[in-house]
Amino acid sequence: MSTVNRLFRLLIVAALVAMIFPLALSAYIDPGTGSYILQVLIAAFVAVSFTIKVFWKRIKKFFSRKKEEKPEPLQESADEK
Amino acid sequence: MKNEAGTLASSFRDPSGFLFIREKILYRQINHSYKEDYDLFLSSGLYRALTQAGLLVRHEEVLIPPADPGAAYKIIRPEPVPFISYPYEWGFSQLKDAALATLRIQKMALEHGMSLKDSSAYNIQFLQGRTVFIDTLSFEKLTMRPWVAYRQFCQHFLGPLLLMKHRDFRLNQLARVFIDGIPLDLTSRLLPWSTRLKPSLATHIHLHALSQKHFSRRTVRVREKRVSRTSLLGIVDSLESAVKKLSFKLKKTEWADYYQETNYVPEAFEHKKQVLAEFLDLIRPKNLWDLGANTGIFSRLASERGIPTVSWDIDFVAVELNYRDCLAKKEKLLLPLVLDLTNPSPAIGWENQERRSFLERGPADAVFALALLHHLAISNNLPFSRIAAFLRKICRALVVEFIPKSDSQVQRLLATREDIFSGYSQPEFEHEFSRFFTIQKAVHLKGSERVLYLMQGRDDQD
Repeated sequence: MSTVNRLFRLLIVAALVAMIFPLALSAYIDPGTGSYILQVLIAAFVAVSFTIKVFWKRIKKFFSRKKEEKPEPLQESADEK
Repeated sequence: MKNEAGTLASSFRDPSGFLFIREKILYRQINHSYKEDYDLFLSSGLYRALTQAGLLVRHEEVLIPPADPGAAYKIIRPEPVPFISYPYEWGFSQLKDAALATLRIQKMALEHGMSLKDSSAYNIQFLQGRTVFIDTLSFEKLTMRPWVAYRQFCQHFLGPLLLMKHRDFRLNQLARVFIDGIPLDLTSRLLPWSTRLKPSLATHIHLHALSQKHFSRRTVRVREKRVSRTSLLGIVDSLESAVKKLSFKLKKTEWADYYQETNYVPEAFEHKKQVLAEFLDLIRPKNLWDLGANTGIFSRLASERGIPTVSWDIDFVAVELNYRDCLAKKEKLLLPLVLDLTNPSPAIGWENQERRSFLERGPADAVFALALLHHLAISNNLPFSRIAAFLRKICRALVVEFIPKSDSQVQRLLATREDIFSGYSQPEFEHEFSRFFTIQKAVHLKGSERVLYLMQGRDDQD
């Protein structure tokens, strides 16, 4: 856990740096590790926000169903052809 | 592109299986190494759910001798996709739809205890006017590890969409250079600073690029990292919201300009449609490419007759408008794509064989080349002989429009340059094209000086 904490602190600092300096990679890299670690770091955050979103949708659905029985129109983009 | 054994080079990286062609039919061999995942894919109900939702090509298992008997577990025959297109040929909405389809598939996979192991844009194709996933072997058992295809999704979809929206829609051409998606550090550098203020973009693009850089020279035992299914769903949901927010808006005047283009003398326009319809009924092609199709008005004469049609144009906005029309009218047989005919899509990837060139994906049964010749001959200095030879390579039957020098469209092209095109005349055009085609019909369009030709490719061409 302490490793994750350390990484997290480091990434916060890095994020601030990234805000200021646009990034350039010069060397040829394996980008796989960074993509993995980023997901581990944001895992808790996205899980919480996703749970709240689902929960909130259910509440909205519950009340909208009480008002009228019609299902909500799909607000999807073009993928709902 | 295939080798002697009929194996397609587009699938050689995948140890789970490969595509091969036998007697003009496309098959996919599933190797023993993928047995467990394939069985789970079917038994979990994911295959059924995805095909019912129209998100995955259907397939049937067949009993034929495998292409590589030692490794073979099963052979499947996937539903054929009439025309394979690539992300650098798509407009903004096409890439966005492909992105959303990929995320919906990943969501459904997670709900069925599986996950996508790659999310390359090349796995999405357009079939019957819908975005479908074509790689049946891309699903693996869910292991509660970070999403292995997250990087690929950001590089193939999110990054290019952001670049198109925030910088310039022509930046999707970068996909031609970077076959595995646009590197995130490059996307991060090219995007406006303001994108760093949006939490989802700051994370999925900028922080992501930074994280890649930070860990590129460190060894971290990532295999031991675990994340929950809710987190994985959260990542997909976050990407989905980011993609859905992206829209490509046009100013009213830009819209109007595009529809104005085709709005020349109504009499000639109506006559042109009528002649084209007659030609189509005469040749009844199995498929058609409309080159320089603009927003696809004439392409629709073919697609509405049940002819699978690809509507090519150099202009991204025209292709975008054409695709939106397809969606609005639920058109199944029309596919709008971006193409610069003077520099068509090359073959790219390993040994130049992974993605096929424009020419390799032909020939088409018929080609429309309407109001196109003067652009090639005058703007691009191409002699009629070269244009005819090229068109013969890509089609059997040709419908071509000749526009004389006196036409205002040609005069517009000549206005800024010296007229060095003494060979640009109707007799010269007929002479050069006759070397490659047999002229079957020539019809003068009413109220104009333009001529529409119907030609059949000659087999004895030199």
